Amino acid sequence: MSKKMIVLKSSEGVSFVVEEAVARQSKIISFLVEEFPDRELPLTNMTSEILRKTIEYCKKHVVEDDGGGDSSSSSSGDLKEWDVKFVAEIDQPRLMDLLMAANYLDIPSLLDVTCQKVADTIAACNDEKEIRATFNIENDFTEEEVEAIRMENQYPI
Amino acid sequence: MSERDRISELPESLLTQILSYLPTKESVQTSVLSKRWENLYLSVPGLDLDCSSIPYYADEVLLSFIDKLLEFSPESSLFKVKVKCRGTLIDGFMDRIGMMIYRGTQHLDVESSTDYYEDDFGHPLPGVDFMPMNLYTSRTLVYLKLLSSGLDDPGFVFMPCLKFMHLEEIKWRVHLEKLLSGCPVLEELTLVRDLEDDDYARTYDEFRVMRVRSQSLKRFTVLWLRKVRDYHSGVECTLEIDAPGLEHMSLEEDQFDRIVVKNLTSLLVVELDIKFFVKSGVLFNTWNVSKSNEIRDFFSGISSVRHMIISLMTVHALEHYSKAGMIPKFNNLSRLEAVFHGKLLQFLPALLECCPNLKHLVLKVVHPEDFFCVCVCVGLQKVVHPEEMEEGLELTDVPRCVSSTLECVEIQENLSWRKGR
Repeated sequence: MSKKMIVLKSSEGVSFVVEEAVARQSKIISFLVEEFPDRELPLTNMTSEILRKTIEYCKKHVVEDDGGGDSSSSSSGDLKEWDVKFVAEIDQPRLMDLLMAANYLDIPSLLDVTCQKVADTIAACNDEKEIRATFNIENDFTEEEVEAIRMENQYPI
Repeated sequence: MSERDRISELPESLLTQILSYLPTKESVQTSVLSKRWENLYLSVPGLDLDCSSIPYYADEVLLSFIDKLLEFSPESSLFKVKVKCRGTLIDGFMDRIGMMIYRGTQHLDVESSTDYYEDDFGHPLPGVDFMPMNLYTSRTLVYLKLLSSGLDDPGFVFMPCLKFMHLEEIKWRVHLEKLLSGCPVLEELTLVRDLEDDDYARTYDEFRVMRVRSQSLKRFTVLWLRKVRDYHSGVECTLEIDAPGLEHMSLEEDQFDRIVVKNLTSLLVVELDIKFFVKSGVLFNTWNVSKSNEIRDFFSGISSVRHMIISLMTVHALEHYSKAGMIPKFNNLSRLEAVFHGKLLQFLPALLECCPNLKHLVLKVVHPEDFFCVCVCVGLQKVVHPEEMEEGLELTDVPRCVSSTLECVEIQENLSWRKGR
C-alpha cells in the first residue's frame, strides 16, 4: 500500500510532497492534517530552502513503525552524530531561520539541536566582544554601563 | 559589518531557551552584550550552578546571587536544575534547592557536599548534606540524580511523575523501599552503594537490607563506583530486588554482600560483572553452604532471562559455584555473551548444557590461542586445524543446544571475530 502523502507550500509557492508520517513530526502540521485533510498546507513564512532543510531533518528522524525490520531506523547514537553534522553545515543566518521554523512548526527535537548549536557558538567565544562580533550584536551600552552591570551581576568564582 | 543581528530578533522565549543550554556562569555574562540581553539570564527556565570552587568568603555572594535569580520571576518554572556543591557545606544552600524544587523542576541533578567532621575519638566521619523535604512530594520531577546526598525520612513520599532515578553514594535515613513505594511510575533506577559508613549506617541494623521493590520498574543497574577504593564498607548489606516488570538488570560491581532476587518474571536482558563476594581478588568458599544457596537462588531467580551477558569474573564465579551446586536451566535463554579464557573453557560445555534453547552464542576469548579450544567446545571441528586440536579439549558429549537450536556462534578475540555454523 502506498503511503499517504501531503503537500507543503513554501513562501515562494513551491510545493513539497512529503510522506504524512514525516511531516507529522511537526505538531502544527499534525494538527492541520487532521483539521484539513487533503489540502495543500501553505507555510507562508518559510522559504523553500528552509522548508527543504526542515523536511530533510524530519525524514531522518521519522520513526519507522510499520512493522518492518528495525534495521532501517538509525540507532540513537548515529542519529545524534547526524544531528551534529546537520547543524554544523548550516551558516548562522540559516541556522536562525531553521530555529524559527522549528519553533513555528513545533518540532521539539529540531528546536533542541538548533538552540544547542547557538548555545555552543556562544560558549565557544572568549568574551562578550567575540559574541557581539559573531552574531552582529550592536553594543548599545556605554562603557560605564557595562562596568556597572558587570559589578551588579558578578558571579562568585 | 552591515549584516543583521538575527539572534537579538528572536523572541525572548527562544533566547532564554538558548541560554538554558549554558552553565549559569556563562549565561550571566551575556547580560553585558546589549540592552536586549541585560535581563535575559534571569528568565532562563533552568539553572546550572557549579559551586565546587566557590571560596568560603564568597558564600554570601553566592547565596544572594541565587536569591536574585529565584526572585526575578517567581511564577515561572525552572524545568532543569543542575547543581554541583562544594566539598564543604554552605549554610542555607539546601533551602535554595528546596525553593528551586518548588518552581516545578522536572529534571534535578545534585552533587552534594562530602564534608567530614571528627567524632569524640578523633575519627573522621562523613557529614551529611540532606536534601530538602519538599523533594519527596514533588509533583513535577521526572528525572532525579543525586550524588553523596543525604535522604532523610520524610514520613510521606509521593513523586507521581518520577521515571528516572540515579542514587549514587546516598546517606540513607529513609529506606529505599519506602522511597520507591512513593514512585508509582518509576521505570529506571541506578544505584551506587555508599561504602563510607557513617555512624548511622553502623548503628542501625535495619539499613542492612536495601529493597528494590517496585511494580513499575523496567531497568535496574548497580553502577561502578566513580572513585576506585581499596577498602570496603564494614557494614554487611543485602540487596533485594523484587520487581515483576523488570526487563533489564545490570550488576556491574560487587557492592553488596548478598543479592536476593524475587519475582523477576519479565526479564529480557541481564548483564553481570560480579563474583558474589565483595573482597577483591577472593572467591567465595565452596564449603560455605549459605553462599552456594544464595548463588543458586540468584540464578534460579533470573533463569527466565532471554539474553545474558556475563564477564570473565562472573564466568569464574559460576564455574567455582558449579563445583558445589547445580546451575539451573536457562530454558528461555536464546542469546549468551560470555568472556572465557584458558582453563575456564573446560567449563563451557557444562554451561551450554544449561542453555537448552540457545540460538546465538558470543564468546569473547582473552587469548587468541583459546580460539581453537572454543571451536572444539561448540563442536566446530571443521574450522579447527588437526595439529592444533591436541591442545583442545576432549569432548565426549556435544551440548544439546549445539546439536539442535544453536544457529550462530561468534567468537571474538580482540577486534577480529569469526562466524560459524
